[in-house]
Amino acid sequence: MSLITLIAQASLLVQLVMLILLLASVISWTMIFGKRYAIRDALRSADDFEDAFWSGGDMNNLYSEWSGRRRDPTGVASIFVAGYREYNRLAGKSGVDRGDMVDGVQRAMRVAMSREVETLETHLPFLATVGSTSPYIGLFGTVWGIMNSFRSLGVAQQATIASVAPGIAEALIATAMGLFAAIPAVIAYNRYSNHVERLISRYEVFSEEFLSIVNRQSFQMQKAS
Amino acid sequence: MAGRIRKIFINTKSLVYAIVIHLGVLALLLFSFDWGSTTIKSSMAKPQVEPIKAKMVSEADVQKQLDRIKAREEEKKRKELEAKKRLDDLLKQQQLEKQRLADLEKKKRLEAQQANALAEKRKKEEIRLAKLKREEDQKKRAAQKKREAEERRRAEEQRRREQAEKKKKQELARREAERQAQLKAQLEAEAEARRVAEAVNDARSRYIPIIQQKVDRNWTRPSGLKGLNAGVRVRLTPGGEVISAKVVRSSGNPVFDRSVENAILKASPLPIPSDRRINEQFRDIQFNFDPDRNFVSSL
Repeated sequence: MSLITLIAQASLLVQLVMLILLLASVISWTMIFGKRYAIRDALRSADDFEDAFWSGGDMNNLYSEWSGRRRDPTGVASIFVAGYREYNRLAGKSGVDRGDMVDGVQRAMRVAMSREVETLETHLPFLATVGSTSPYIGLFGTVWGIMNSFRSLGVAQQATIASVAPGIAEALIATAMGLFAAIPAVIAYNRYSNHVERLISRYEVFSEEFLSIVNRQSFQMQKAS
Repeated sequence: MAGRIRKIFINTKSLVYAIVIHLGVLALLLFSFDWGSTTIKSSMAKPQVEPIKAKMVSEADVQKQLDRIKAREEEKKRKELEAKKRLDDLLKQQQLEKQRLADLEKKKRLEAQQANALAEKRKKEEIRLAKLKREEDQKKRAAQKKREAEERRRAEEQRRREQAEKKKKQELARREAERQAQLKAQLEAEAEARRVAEAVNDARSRYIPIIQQKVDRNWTRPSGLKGLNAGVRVRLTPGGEVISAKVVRSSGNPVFDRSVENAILKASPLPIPSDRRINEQFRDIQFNFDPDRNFVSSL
């Protein structure tokens, strides 16, 4: 009695449950890998950009370099690009005082940051859902299978352990599959949400720092004029 | 654009990885997951091959050896012939013996058959006797049973008759008692009725004047009318409230009649006895209203 015959003998509902769980597992693994690459990219680009930013180069060069790249800037770079673009626009205009400038830059950066956060957080809810519900789905399949096998046991004249055990085993496969789908999803969810939170706090710190630089700059400009 | 392409690439790669992982797990399970058919590891015995032992030998030795072998073979042949002869003899003897044994066996069997036939005959006789005896016994037992049944039936009949008589007597007694009880109840009811009637009469003679008085107190004399009287019929609630008051014997003067009706309605509630049985008799009363004379009730 191999695994395949067990699955093939299961009732239609249990097979359906197994199919759902298999799909959920495949999709959640796809998201686990996809998220892994996305987070790795975000971390790397944040490292690259911060290195470039704090190396003391000219901010104009930095801006033209990052905004002119083939790829759209991501992560910290996109926040910087949005903030700096706004700064340039406001700095060219007359009659813009310091408070307006800081406010404008801050708003532009907040918009960029919320977009970044959104892309970082995609798919995480799906992982959480799979992690919390697939054990229940599996359990449902198991309960159904066991109900069926007990019903057939009631009909049978002689009840032996051999007449129930295969039914229960095939029902328990559903629970096993549910757990198989849920455990990686929960682990990945916890891990990735932690990473995402750390990235978000990094973005926030960067935008605060950039804002203080803008503030200082505009103060000097005001004084000069 | 480039970002999107990269995203698609990453997604495809991730999907492939996910499917690979699932296939791997499935393969692992298929390998390790095998119930029921316990794999029997056949311990294949290795064929044991004996090594060839060789030795160097000389020509003379070989000749000698050959001679020896030849001699041995001849000897062997001779011995075989002898053995064959002996074997033939033995076989013949054995056959004879067998024949004898068979004869003996046949004889024995015949004897046994005769003995069997005898025994069977005796057995049959015994069975017949036993059967006869059993039949006799049965007959006797049946007779006994019949007698017993008869006796029982008679006893039962006797008992039933007695019971019926007893029942009859009881029934009679019961009927008598019932009749007496009924009589008594009737008498009691009559007495009760009489008592009630007396009480009602009594109450009537007591209460009608009171009622009339109360009506009189509430009556306002129409000016210039004197010496008139009217018979009224009054319907009351159990509490004495007036439901309706109607003149049934007119005084001849409608003003007087109406004043009487008004007086009765004003006098509500009228005093009536509270005893329930007597009260019932006061739900619908008639009396004569005559303010000048003392009231004469005519219920």
